Formats: sequence, C-alpha cells, structure tokens
Amino acid sequence: MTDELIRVEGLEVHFPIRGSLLDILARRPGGVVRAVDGINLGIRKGEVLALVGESGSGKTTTGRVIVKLTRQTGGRVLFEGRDVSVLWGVRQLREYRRRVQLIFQDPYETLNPKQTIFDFVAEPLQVNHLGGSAVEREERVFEALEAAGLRPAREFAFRYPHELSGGQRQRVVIAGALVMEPELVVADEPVSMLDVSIRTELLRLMLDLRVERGLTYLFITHDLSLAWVIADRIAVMYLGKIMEIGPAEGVIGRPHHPYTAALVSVSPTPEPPTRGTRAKRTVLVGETPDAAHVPAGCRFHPRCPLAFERCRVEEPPLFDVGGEQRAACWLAEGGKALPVMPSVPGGAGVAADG
Amino acid sequence: MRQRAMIAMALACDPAVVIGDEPTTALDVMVQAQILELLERLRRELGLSLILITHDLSVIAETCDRVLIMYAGKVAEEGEVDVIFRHPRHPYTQKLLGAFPNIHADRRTLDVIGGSPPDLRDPPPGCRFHPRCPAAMAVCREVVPPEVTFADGVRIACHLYPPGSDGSQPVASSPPLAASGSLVASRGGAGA
Repeated sequence: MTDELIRVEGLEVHFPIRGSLLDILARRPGGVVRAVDGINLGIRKGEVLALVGESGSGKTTTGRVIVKLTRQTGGRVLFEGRDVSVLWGVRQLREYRRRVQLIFQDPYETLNPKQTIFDFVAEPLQVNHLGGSAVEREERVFEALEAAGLRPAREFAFRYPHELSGGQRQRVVIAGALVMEPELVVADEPVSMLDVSIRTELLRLMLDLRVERGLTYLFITHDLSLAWVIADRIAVMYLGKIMEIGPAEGVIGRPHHPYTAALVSVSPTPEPPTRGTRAKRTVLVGETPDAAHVPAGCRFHPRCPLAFERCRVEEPPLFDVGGEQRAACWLAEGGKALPVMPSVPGGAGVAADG
Repeated sequence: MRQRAMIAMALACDPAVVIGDEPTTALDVMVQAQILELLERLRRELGLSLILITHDLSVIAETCDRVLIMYAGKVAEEGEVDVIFRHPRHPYTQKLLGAFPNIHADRRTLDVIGGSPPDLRDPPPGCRFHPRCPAAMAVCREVVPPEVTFADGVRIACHLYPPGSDGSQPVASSPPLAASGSLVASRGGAGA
C-alpha cells in the first residue's frame, strides 16, 4: 500500500545458540532461537499499530529491528518504500535514526541519574549535530519538554531524574524522542511500569501528540486491554509469528484465532465477574514454549483447545477473514467464524471439517 | 513457575492468612489467569484468608470479596467488591475505575486523574485527595472528612457523604471549587 510509512517483509531474527566445547568437538549442530520467524507488517502514516504478545513472542525483537538495534537474519524493512535493512553505521543511519525513535519501558533505567533533564533531551541533538546554535538547541529542548507535558519547561530542565516522579520521568523520555521530530515512534511497553492513574495521562499524551505532530506509533505491549484503548490496529504475536492482525474492534470483538480468543477471555477487567463471565474464560494450560523449540505444524497447537490433526503437521498461513482482518488458523480458512471455545483448560477439542 | 514456588513456600507452614503483595503484577495475562485460579482454589480448599495488596483493579474484581481503597495513607472507600465496583461513590474510586482500560467495554472513554499523588511529608490539608478531586468543595480544603459507615456496609471518607445522609447520593454541603473536570480521551479525532 502506498500510504504505508513502514513495512516489514518476511522478517526473521534467528539467534544461534552457542554449543559447549564438547558439542563443537563432536560437530553436533548448534540450535537456533527463532525469536522472529517470518512476519509481514505494515503501518500506515498516522496510525497506531499495537504489537501484542506474551514474553517470548518476539514483539520486542521486532521493535528493535525496526529501530535498527538488532540485525535481522532474513527479510527486509521498508521505510517510505525504501529498503533500510541494508543501512548500517552512523553515517548511513543518521537520517533514519532521526525519523524513527524508540521509547523504552523503564523510565528508571533509561535516564542517567547524573544527567540533568536538559542534558538528556539535548543529547540526541548534539550527537547528531542537529539543532543549530546553542540558543536554537535550547529552544528545541524546551519545546520538546513542553510538548511532553512538562510545563513550564524551565522549571524541569535543570532538575535531576531523582527529583521527578515515575510519570514525569517517562515524559522526559518522551521529550527525548520528540526533540528529534520523529515520524515513527516505537514504544516498547511505555506505561507498564506506571500506576493506573498516571498511565492514562501518558496514553492520552501519546494520542494527542499523534494529532498535533502526525506521529505514527508501533506500540508494543503484553496488555491486550491497553492495545484496545490506544490502537487502530492490533497484531497478536506468538512464538515469533503473527497469529492475527486487523482493526482493533475486529480482533478484540470477533477474534478468529483461538489464541486471540483465549487472550481476550482472560484479559482482566475491573468488573466483578458473574457466573456467566467466569464460564466464558479460556485459561490455556502451560506457558509459551521457548523459541529454540518451536512446535511443528501450527506453533500454537500444543496449547490450542481446538487443535486437530492438520494443525500438528501443517502450518497455517494468514487467512483473510474479512474487514481487513487476517488469522493464521486452519479454522479461519475461507473466513469462517471461530467455534465456541471450551472454557475448561484442555477440554474436548471441537471437530473441524475443512 | 517461580510464582508457584513462592506460593508453595507461603503455604508450607499451613498459614491462616496469606498476604499477597502484587502477586501477579510482573506476569503475562495467561500466567496471571493461571495464578489467580490457583489462589482461588487454594482459598476454597484450605479455607485461607487472603489479603491482596495491588494497584490492579481487575485482579481485585477477579479474586476479592471486599476491597479497601487507600489514598495517601488514608481509607477512601471500603466495602463489598460487588457494591463498590458497580456503584463507586468516592470520587477517587470513580476516577480509578474510569481510568482502567476495559477490554469488554467501549474504549473511547478513559478517565484521567490530573496531578500526581501528594508528598506525604507535607500532605494537603483537609481531604488529601482534594487537589485532584473533580467534586472538591470549599470544606474539603479545610476539614478532614470523617469515615462514615452506611447501611450497606460501605465505609466512605468523603464530604459528599456526610454522617446522617443515607449514603446513596452525594450531598453537596459547601460551594464547589474550580474543578479539574474529567477528560475524555479522544482517539485521533479532536486535538488537545
């Protein structure tokens, strides 16, 4: 699509496992961790795409490849249609690094305790020789701080991180990204360390900035309810692959993949459960297997309450299920609706025809 | 697995009360659901009492019978979870619930609580929540609200629910302060 700001094609990140000396001497082949195992993803200009998954799903690795902190082992990344996967090194990446910024999870670790807020926000400008004269640079820093909601900027600029609350620190981190005037912001769990009341303020700020500055977001989170609140589209990852992708309303309201359906059903809500809602929950057994031992066939089949024979041998592609929604499940072939999920873990699988 | 081991350690001495301090905060949703089911089963089978300390309202909704909402070292509201979560009365409780994303509800409205928690070395006078309260009145700045227990067992410390009122409706007993009204998160549409 032409209005896509960034596009990921067939992205693979495989980390080799270094074997012991004995393994090497015996010439045993080393294993491979398939952190990201072939995903396609496009984000349109001005869109918020949430990448949702449990730990080990490869969502963070995908984000790191996009901001060029991790090297892919296969596939490519296109920014405005231009292949940026071949760009490496300070000189080649200067322009790209300005336009694509990362917001980390932990505001307590991102900030240097010995650096003032001003120095933290000004650093990317200095490193990249941007912002012109000292006066202009100062102006840009203050402007970024105010845009991130730290007003008046002069009052915050010369403080140290320990003088700020968690929410204010995360605003400083956001200001550090904004000062580069980026177009794409990759936010990796930007609010998961914060209290509920502060969380909504920052989500609000991020959505406001999108309107004011035309930002595009890749929002990485393990929390489906957060994705629901902030995203236009949601991509659900499991063990390095996209299980389902589509508009937020569709993915949450009418999931076509059993994994999405299970995640939605166990996503906690602040409503006390009634007997009815309890019965609808599908708690999967076990935990996500590690990416060095990806199951054959559909990688979700060992935990899937609806798995049948075909799932054990053949990996399903992403099937179109209508409304720009796609699901990688044999049950979604031909756009069929998902059968009712059993609420008992490991319950009877539903026979499927087709 | 590690959290299960922690639970096993806590249960080894056959306790009557178990205190869980944010027991599922660092976990993925699926594992969180597993642990919450485990706690629920243990409580039933072993007749345990459980005190759950958490900032996660959804965990309370899932597992608890009663809830006590605290703000800046004081009780804001206390009572049955079913009652409090369905009809929150204290403005702080209302704000908290409104700020919590709910995947099974409309997503366009997310409450924002302005400001930040107070510095407890020098807490605000009167009601400690008044600088952030959308319903604050003149009296809230000066008088610490007393805790009042109403007929349905809900205990509230808020001037909107004074002793003698029946606690079903807020009673404005003094003029309102300029309030930091509730903000509705706009998705993409309107600007700031």
